Amino acid sequence: MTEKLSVLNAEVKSAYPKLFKFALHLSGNKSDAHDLVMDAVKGTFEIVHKTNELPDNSEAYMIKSIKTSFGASMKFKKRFVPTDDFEPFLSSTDDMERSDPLLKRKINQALFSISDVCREVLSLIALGYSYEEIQETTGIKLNTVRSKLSRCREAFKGKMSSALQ
Amino acid sequence: MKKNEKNKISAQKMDDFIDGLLSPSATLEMEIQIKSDPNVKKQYESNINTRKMLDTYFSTDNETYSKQVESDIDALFSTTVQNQENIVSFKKNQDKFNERKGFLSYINITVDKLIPMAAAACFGFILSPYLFNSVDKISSEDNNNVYIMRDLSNSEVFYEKVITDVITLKKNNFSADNDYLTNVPLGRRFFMQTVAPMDGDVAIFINTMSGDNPEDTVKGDVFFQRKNVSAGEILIFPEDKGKGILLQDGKGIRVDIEISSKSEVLKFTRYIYSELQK
Repeated sequence: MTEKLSVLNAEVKSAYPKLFKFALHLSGNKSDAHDLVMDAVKGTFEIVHKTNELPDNSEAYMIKSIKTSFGASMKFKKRFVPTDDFEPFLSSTDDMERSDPLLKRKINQALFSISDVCREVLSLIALGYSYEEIQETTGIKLNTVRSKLSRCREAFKGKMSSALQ
Repeated sequence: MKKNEKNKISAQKMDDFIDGLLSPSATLEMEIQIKSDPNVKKQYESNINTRKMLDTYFSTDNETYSKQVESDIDALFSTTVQNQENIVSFKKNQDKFNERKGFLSYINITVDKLIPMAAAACFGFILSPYLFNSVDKISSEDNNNVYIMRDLSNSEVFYEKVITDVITLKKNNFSADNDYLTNVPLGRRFFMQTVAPMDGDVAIFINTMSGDNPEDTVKGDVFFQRKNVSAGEILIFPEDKGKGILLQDGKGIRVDIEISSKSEVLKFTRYIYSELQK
């Protein structure tokens, strides 16, 4: 039992940056994002404790939990467009890595001016999740995921080109 | 349709091409179009750029979890592992507790609405006991047998200790059919954690129990206060991570939690016993 939880513990930590960024782009607030992730982690620990089985895809399972918790508790909460400062939740492993902060802000604004669903699928695909995983976590059919992604990319491109003008 | 849009490829077809989902013949056709048609080429490059932009923006390659996150995750892990061992049900201790009321009877709710009651049911406690080699009793007179301890070792060592040895009371311990109490071993320092069920000001009062009967103990002094707390916010107290709460002499504590907003006040009480009271 403890062995499986330990495996999950390591998986959770390794996935945290991705889970946090996904939650951040749902909630628009760092503290809320962390809370959403911790709720998902807690739920997953409890499920494993109860069933003695690890989920087939822990990350996808937690993404789904984050989405559910967000819908249940924070959907109508006031949001703040996040900055690129993720402290105190994420630490940079490369101090030299500095991307253009202005561009990041514009991407932020563009992402928060498209629909919630678009932001969700764009963030998931950019975080490296497959179409199948997006289908699993969002409940959207596979073909619809692909067409939605295309439409969302176009919407994002449109917002970005006006932001960059 | 404008002339320059005549040869524009649909967004999905372009995405399918980039993702390698087109048939070999369609892929070949697309490659030819990209080479020969500037508009299609521009569309292709724009699509690639958008993907790169988003991939870079969301990239976690140079990011990892912070120490605080590590501590939070490990605390949840320990909570899950130790939960069953450290929570003692009234039902398992009928001989000693058969005269006591169910936990729900100790909850004092001043509002008569069902929804706030349900919200209170979601109010969770995590007791996080920490083991210390050396402690400094700094307010032993303040609250009878409730001691606030300060760890004398450096904060890094303490931080490591936060992740070990946690006792949890699950959220559903506040449901109507539940009679759980927490038994904290003597000599073990702990913290308490609550999740606010609604927006408002939070005040927590602690008093040492005067006897075995919880009802004999009155509400204590203010132990923790915070204004403008948001629903779902996690509060850990004592706030100073170098401190903890210690039960002594086999006596428990009464903890009263009050959350007040402009329109309503939620109040409920929790009793935490030391191990000797099992």
